[in-house]
Amino acid sequence: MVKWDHSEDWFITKYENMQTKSSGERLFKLTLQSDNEEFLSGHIIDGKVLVPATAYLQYIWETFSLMYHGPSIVDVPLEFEDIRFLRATHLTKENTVELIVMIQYGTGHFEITESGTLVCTGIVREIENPQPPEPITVPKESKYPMMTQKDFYKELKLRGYHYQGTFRAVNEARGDGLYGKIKWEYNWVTFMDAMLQIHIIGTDARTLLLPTRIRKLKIFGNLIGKMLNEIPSENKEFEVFVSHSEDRVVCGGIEISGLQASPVGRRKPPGIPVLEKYEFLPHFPTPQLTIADASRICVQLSVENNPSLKMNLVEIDNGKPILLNFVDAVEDLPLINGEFSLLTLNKEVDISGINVLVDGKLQSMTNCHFIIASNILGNNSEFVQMSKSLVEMGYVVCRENCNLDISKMIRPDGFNLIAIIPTTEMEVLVLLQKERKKFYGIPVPIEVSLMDLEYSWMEKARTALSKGPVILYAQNEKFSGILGMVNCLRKEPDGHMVTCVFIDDPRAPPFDVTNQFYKNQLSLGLGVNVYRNGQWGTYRHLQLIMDDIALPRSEHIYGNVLHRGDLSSLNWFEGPLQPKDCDIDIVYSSINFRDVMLATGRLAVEIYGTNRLDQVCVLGFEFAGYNKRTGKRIMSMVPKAGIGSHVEKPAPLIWDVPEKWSLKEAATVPVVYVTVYYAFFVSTKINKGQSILIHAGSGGIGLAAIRVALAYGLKVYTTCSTPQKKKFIMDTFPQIGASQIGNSRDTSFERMIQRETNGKGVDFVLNSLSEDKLLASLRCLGQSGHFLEIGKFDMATDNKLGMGLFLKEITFHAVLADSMLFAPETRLKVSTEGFHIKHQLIKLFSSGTCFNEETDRSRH
Amino acid sequence: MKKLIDQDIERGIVQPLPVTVFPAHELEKAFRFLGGGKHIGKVIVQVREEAKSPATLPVKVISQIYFKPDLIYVIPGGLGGFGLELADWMALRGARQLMLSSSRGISNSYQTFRIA
Repeated sequence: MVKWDHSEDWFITKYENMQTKSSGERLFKLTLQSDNEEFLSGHIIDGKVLVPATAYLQYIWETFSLMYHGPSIVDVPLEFEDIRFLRATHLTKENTVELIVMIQYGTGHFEITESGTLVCTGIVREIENPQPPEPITVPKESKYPMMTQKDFYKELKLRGYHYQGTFRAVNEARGDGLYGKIKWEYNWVTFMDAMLQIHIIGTDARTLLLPTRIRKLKIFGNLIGKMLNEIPSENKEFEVFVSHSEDRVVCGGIEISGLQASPVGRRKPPGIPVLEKYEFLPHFPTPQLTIADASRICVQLSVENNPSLKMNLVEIDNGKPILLNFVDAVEDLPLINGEFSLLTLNKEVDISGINVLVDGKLQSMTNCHFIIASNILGNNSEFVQMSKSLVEMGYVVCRENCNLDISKMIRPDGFNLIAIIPTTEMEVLVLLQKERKKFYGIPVPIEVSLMDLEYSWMEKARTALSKGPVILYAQNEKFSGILGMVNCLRKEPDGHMVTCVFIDDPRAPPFDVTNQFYKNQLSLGLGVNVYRNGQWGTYRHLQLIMDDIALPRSEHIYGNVLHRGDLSSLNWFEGPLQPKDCDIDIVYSSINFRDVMLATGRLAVEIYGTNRLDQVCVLGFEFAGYNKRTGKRIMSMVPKAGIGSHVEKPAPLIWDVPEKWSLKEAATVPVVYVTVYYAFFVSTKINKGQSILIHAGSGGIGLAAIRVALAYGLKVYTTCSTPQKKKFIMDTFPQIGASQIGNSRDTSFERMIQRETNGKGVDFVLNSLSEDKLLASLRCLGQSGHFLEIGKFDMATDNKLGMGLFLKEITFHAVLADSMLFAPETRLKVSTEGFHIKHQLIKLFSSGTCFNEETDRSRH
Repeated sequence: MKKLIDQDIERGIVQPLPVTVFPAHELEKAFRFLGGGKHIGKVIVQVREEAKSPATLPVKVISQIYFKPDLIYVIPGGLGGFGLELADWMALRGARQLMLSSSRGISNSYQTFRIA
């Protein structure tokens, strides 16, 4: 009988879900289970599957071509403009994400929403006369190497891009991120995404950047088709070119200009790092240790002597089990798993991670690596049973009373005494190891010496090892690497045939296996033996306890967040500077709003450049302190690291503190007054009799601006957020009446200005408010008014201004006073202005009365 | 109005602002206070008792390792994955002269990229 063969699935184009309504609205249901979208599961960012930015564009493209043409998108040359990606859409294996795509017929404005929230917006239109993109000439020669696909994605992975499957479309990329080759796999989404990937590699950063904006994107589908026909069918790939100066990426008929990406916070790494110190520990006895460290030593000794990936640990309950410490010790070791059992008579016991066996008997336990029991030394019958339950060379941890007299201790038959560990819990742990039954042969001692430049010991060891066990020893060579070498050798097959003796004590007798001193130690059968400071022991990893005591510090320290975006991780850190090389001791560090923005991650550290070296210790750019070289009290503005204890050299923006001020007062001055004077005298020029609206009048800059503006004879209007602040402003500045103070939380101040100025508006606005309040502030300006913008929010988000406002001949000034700090040597003009302000400020500080002269000058 | 301004000049115009001081160990509190927007004037952190105190006010400090720019650090096997990351980390912590050794030399382009 003939049957259809259904064993294979084939793609077929289905038109029914491509039907479009006249409004240009379509619904896309995304699920990773569908064949069409399955490839999206390769777009993994920081461990999560996100809908790639280019997938949104593909949906717009499909919808657009259906509106005007047919389902074949390739025939429609398109141009996207002002695309914004507002939020990421998360895909999981199970969920279905519904994207609603809407394109307006008249304007081509589009938006994509997901469950009511806006995901992506922009404008799309057809290109009337498609011209192939202007080629970018990239220098073919570069000191940067070409990276293979594997290396390219390794680097991206370190940054948090875990691309899989078809998203690994970059075949080759040059290290400078200007040139590469992209595989063509008949998938526009991955192809365009690869263009964005190339862009990433050029920045020296470990931050995770996601595209947030694209100014223009042109797609010439037909061109790609033509180009495809010209290249051989197997290994279809396109060259990609990037130009940073033109801000363009071009690849096979697609051109992306003005790509902006913003850093996103990485999820914290899943594990907590294990912090340990590595030090020599004598065994008979060890110094007093915490029970946690004591457990670690037992477990580590076991791993060193009889390695096993699976450990079986049993404790006989005495009411206060210590097994959990062993659980932690095992979990801190890589690759090793443990099984933990507690034999108890108490039915109530329930400890997570441990099998509690009520009325469990040791007889029923076999192949144990550890048995932990209390007060059993001297009870030989117990040891006979334990010996049966242990693996070969397994351990018994005896919890004994701390008064135990070691010299009187009777070693149970068939066990070796490995270590005696007094703990801080008034207990002694006696570690016993079951003797090895098997005899491997008489070991051959071979000295490993650094002086032996011919490495003759190596050949000897090789020959000896092929016949039987070997003792490798090193004596009186402090820097011998024998411990690490034997550690590696013991991990090889038959590694247990190698024993190490490291004699790091000049008083020890020359190594000789017949000498009783060595004979006794070797009879214990330990893989690694170290003799140091007159005692036998080993090197062990102990817990590194963080120094968390508050102490006065004389070394350099600085304040920073451990995790960006998490204020509770604000801490002081040991800094890189040497206090003796530093000229300045900081007494007071100011905190400015910008620091809060940096610490909370709302302002990216990338403003300090993409170089990661510049991105550490960035908080704080104002302080008051003491110059040790000159003995003067100073106040200053610095580019970074102002929250700290020391500054190396005086910065250009530095002043001596006037006699009458305390350092505490001085710390409040530089940033606010520099900003205000920069705005009032460099960006514009204020004049007597003019009017000004100063927002957030109770903040630092607000107060300083009001003071200066009033001093120069301006009419001041201001805003603040609470009645208390309003009262404060009125108390501080009796010249300002209640009717001149508006609310900074809404736009009602616009009415206040209209009312107070009879509709004329003000001459200046010093603005720090954002969005609708910014636009309302602009409308407060009168004819030829000046807008002084000190906030960064609207600029950073590229919000729009209506040009109609400028019919009043107004001027918009971006006042970014911190720009003076960053590149003073390259932006000479600004920096000289900086000095000019400085000059002016010094005059002002030195005598209050000099304002007369200043005022006169600014009037001309 | 003129009279008022004159009075102000006599008092001095550039004057310190109202200030809230937090001791060094309350760094987080100071940030939250400023972030909360309830303050008037400035927020500062006192780092040391007075100008000539050699040490800071008592604080907890997280230790950090720094490398000296004038020393050469040798990382045997430094071209492996761990070695390259270690070199990267050391460079971030101040090391400027690193020598990576390997038994095989530069064997793939990734190593070349990272060294460049």
